[in-house]
Amino acid sequence: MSNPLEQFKLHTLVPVEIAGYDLSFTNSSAFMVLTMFAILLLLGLSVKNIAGRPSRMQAMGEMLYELIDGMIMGTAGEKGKKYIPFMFSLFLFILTCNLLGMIPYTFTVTSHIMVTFVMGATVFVGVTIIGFARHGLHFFSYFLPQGTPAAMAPLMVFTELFAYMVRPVSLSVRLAANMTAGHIVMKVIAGFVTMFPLFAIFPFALLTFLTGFEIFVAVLQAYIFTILSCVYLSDAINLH
Amino acid sequence: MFKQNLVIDLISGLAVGAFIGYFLDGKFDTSPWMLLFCTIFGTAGGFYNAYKDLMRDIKKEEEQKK
Repeated sequence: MSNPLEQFKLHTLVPVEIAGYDLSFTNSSAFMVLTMFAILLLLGLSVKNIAGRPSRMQAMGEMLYELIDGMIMGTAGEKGKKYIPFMFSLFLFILTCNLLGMIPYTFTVTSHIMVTFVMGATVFVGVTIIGFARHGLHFFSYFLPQGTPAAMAPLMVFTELFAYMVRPVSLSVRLAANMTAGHIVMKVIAGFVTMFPLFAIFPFALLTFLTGFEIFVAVLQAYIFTILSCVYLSDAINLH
Repeated sequence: MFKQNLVIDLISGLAVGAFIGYFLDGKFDTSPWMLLFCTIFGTAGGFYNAYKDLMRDIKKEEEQKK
């Protein structure tokens, strides 16, 4: 049975070293480029011949936009409209990375916590900067919810502060852990298929269900990442 | 929806609290109190996050049922 962790190894395709830092083009980078081309192909086809009566591809593009629009309107409201391009890019990138990882023999980009942590930290830092830019020092009033008795105020402030700092970690770890765990389980059960030649049909049936479940998890995790980013954005813009 | 988000909120709350506590201990030499303090508040923060997420999920399901 092959090593289930082998699929997450990085292979350097084009070694690049700049100022002592190893910025090689790895298979992770190759799949990110592939993701970008897949998204460009999808969106390019959907805006190809825009007509009043939309074609199927155009309708799909419009549905994607309405999904993100619904997310932003449901959380941040009107003020969040200018952040739709960012949330759209984030959602499509994570979705396509997750789904491309479901194809056999591909590499799942979002299974590495470095990738997801950068995305989570970008959202966190960006949202904090937006909050400070919009509200100035009044942003700190977010950490003391209205109506707390004065005795509990220090406790509440510390708890809120820690809850705020935990958010990028939980955001990124959720995505990476779901992808990694799903792929490891699939690899292990696939190993069972070859190990038991007599009863191979049972792990194989389980593997079929598991693949369908993993596709659902891939889409769901992309949705959860994006909607939590929208919620954090609305927290910063609207200060509760 | 999926409730595994809540578990990850709790665990990462604990982890971030411990990490920040350990780091602050190294800087201010107040071991082990900083570690204890920050871990407790980090866990509390994680619980608070999980509670907020749960409330948001329940509200979404109620809105969808209407």
